[in-house]
Amino acid sequence: MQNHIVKSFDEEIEHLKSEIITMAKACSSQLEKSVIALHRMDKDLAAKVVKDDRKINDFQREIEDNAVRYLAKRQPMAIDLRYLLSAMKISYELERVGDNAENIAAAVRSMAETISSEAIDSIVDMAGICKIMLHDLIDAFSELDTDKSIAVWKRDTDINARFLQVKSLVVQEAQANGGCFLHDGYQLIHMARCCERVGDHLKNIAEDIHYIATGDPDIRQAMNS
Amino acid sequence: MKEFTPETEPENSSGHPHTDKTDAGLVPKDDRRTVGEKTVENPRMRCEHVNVYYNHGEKKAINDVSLDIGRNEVIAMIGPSGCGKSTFLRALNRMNDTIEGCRVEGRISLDDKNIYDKDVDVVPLRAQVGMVFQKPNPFPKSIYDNVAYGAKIHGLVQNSSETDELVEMSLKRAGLWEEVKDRLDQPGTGLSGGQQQRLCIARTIAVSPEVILMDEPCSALDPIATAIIEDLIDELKQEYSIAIVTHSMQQASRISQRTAYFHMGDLIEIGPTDQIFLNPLHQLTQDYITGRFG
Ligand SMILES: Nc1ncnc2c1ncn2[C@@H]1O[C@H](COP(=O)(O)OP(=O)(O)OP(=O)(O)O)[C@@H](O)[C@H]1O
Ligand SMILES: [Mg+2]
Repeated sequence: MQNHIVKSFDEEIEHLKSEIITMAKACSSQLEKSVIALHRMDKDLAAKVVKDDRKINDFQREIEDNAVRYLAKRQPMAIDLRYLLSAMKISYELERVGDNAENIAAAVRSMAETISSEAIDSIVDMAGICKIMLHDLIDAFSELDTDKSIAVWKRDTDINARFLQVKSLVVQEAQANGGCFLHDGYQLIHMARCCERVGDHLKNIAEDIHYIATGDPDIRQAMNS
Repeated sequence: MKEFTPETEPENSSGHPHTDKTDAGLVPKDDRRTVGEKTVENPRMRCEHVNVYYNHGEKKAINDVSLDIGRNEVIAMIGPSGCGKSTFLRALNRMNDTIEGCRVEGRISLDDKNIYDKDVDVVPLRAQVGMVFQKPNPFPKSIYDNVAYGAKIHGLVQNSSETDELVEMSLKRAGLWEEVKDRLDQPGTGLSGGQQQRLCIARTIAVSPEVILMDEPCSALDPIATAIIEDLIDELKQEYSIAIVTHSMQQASRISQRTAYFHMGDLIEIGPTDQIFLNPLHQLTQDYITGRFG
């Protein structure tokens, strides 16, 4: 993305890139904290995650403002145009990742502290996969590496499979425990759903990176060929 | 509790210029064969394997270029200074004939007729394939005569009322009529730059061309005058084929349907304008339109 004759444009792109990476790390940390809160039933930590979502939203606004400013100022073409447009989209997807972390944390706050469920481990697992995907996406984005973004895209199926697993686990446990488990069981499925959505947003980011690098909006075609 | 992967710093790829690197999916810089669709169905002009030499063959300015110019299309020709855009444009109406030591090889046809055939008269050819230059160059004559002159020479008008009509019609089409209708007898050189450029366009239109060649027609104009010319080009493509050389990527993307990218005499890439500017196929095209070191 470098080597512009106008060096200040390189700096602007570099700035945008580092903002996106910082935001991605912040989202990763929010997601991590939300499931730690779940695992430990730590309601204070859950409250902090809910509160910190504001920061993620601020990141997004900042990135969008900058991208719009650079678009207007540089009137970029080709890969630069794709980069700035996709930066806006990626920041939107990351913001949604943050929202889902917040939703998980909010659910933790409403649950009984005495809960014990095997589904919790699976949800922590799902979030762990999301974190790895996000980490790999940061690499893929830094290097505009299409192979890496395709690999991330494919991992989303792991998450979907685990979501179904959580659902059936919770149904089993609900049947065993009767009415008192209903609220918490619902919350667990809701959390797994949130992780599943995070996976979808990460998949979208993988597509955005692929689009920047190749101009091809359809990552599936690239995988088939 | 499951283990999380530790936070590792993503590698920062910045700060290492890879000037010779080819980006994903792009044709590398050293491959100089044209990429993209050179031909169109039922073209107005067809260029096949065109070479242009200067200085009696010492310098080759255009190297094996083939491309079509469609009917009712605007085709933009872009590329770095000295890449041969003007040379190629001039080959399209044999303006290079007037340059001592310049030679054109290959075949360039207008409606299937080779314009370099021995029996082609260049005077009517240059009416059929008109040219508008970077610097507006009205004759030192009245506005009226600027437009009427060519038509009279080419015998397109029989009498003064026909001439009046043609002058009015051409000035209207060039979007200049309202501004000059009360001072047709005043010198064309007294108009503003943008008006002079439209006068030159009116003069070109007056001789019923099929193709209009424009070599950086807006480079001396302000944004308003440029917008007026661009709007005019949009109108004109209903009736003519237009080939325009421009250094403004934005202008090329605004007004053309196809774009050709030239580099050191080679036609590197040609294709739909949207594609060239959003998703070019060749590394050289991308480097040029994004303003990167070549
Ligand atoms: N009359 C001439 N005699 C000799 N060489 C010439 C002549 N005209 C152009 N050239 C050379 O041919 C090459 C192409 O020139 P041309 O004017 O076609 O470039 P261009 O793409 O129109 O550049 P610009 O964007 O600066 O107008 C250049 O190397 C130029 O020096
Ligand atoms: Mg030129």
